[in-house]
Amino acid sequence: MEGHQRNLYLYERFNARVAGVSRDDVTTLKYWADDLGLTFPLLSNVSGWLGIIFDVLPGNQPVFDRRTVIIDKNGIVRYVRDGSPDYKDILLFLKKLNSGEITP
Amino acid sequence: MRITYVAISLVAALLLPFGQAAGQAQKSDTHEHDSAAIVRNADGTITYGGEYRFVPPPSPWELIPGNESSRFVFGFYRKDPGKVQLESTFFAYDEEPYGYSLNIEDRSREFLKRFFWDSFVKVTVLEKKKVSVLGAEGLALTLEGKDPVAGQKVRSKVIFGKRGARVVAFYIRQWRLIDNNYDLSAFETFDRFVASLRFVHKSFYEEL
Amino acid sequence: MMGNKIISLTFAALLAVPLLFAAGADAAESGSSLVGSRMTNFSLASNQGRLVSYGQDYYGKHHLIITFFPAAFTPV
Repeated sequence: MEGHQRNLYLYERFNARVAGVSRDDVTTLKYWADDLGLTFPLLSNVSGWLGIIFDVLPGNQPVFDRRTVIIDKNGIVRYVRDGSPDYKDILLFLKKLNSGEITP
Repeated sequence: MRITYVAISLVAALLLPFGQAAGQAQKSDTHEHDSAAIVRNADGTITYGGEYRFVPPPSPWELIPGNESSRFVFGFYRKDPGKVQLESTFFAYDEEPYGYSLNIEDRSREFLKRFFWDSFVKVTVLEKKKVSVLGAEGLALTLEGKDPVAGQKVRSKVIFGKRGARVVAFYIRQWRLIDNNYDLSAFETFDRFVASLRFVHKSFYEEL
Repeated sequence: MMGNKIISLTFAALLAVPLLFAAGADAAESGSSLVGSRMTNFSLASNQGRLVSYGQDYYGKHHLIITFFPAAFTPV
């Protein structure tokens, strides 16, 4: 998450915003965000339904898999990567997305 | 409510197989340097990863390449006399030091909150001064921390500079048994390394 | 009557699935079938003491990066 925080000024350049989502409760997320000094939102999805939509909650596991998605401003999912975020890859993708290099 | 739950559950159950799509993630142009590419130049410098050029410290300092899990890009380690875990010196170049700010002063404060997070030492700043680094003004902090329970102490120096808009850092950490003396010559070696570092080309972020 | 309603909604959901999640043409990433699909609206509580609504805060305005992670105080 620190990588996202570090790149916020670049996300702004490409008209992008960022949010983290987990099944933690809001209070726990608040403590963690404060500890890390994060200024972007962390969202609490206790029921896990958004994770089901994005297929990060297979089987009976209680927590989300790591996955980063990018949704363009028209509401279309354009990017999906598993594992920890590849911050440079995200930036390169956003640059292309924002310039119109990537079309639907 | 129950109808909504059934509908969502059905949609979710149908979606689960869709999530299993195979396929390799495409390797993207993220400027990942090949850490194995160590070129020794005729003038005695080393070019590391095609991106960093510097004067290496002499033997017995050993080059330690960074990897996905390390915080540093590359570093140098010296095994000091005594127990390996308790007495050693390591210095490194870190392109993404702890913290977020693009302002060096603010970044140094953020950095200090986490620099020794995995140890039990309480760190104090012995000295803080402006220095010239990477061709511009930077900030150097000299730190010391002690862990009386483990019977050890650490002396460290962190130098913050800029690469493009982003803050980068060099740091050295020397661990000693609490009653032993520090070897300050290692810090002079570190300073020489810092002064010698040059970037072969612009960074990923400068070219973005 | 309730039973008929459930059946109708179930059929509607089944029909909607291919429309909702049409796969992207040339995605090579894992989870690639999600690429090209339409985002669903959501409102979730955040650590910032406010409700974050996709429709209000991002849709039509900004690209949104979402990182799903297992738990706070663990590596992401």
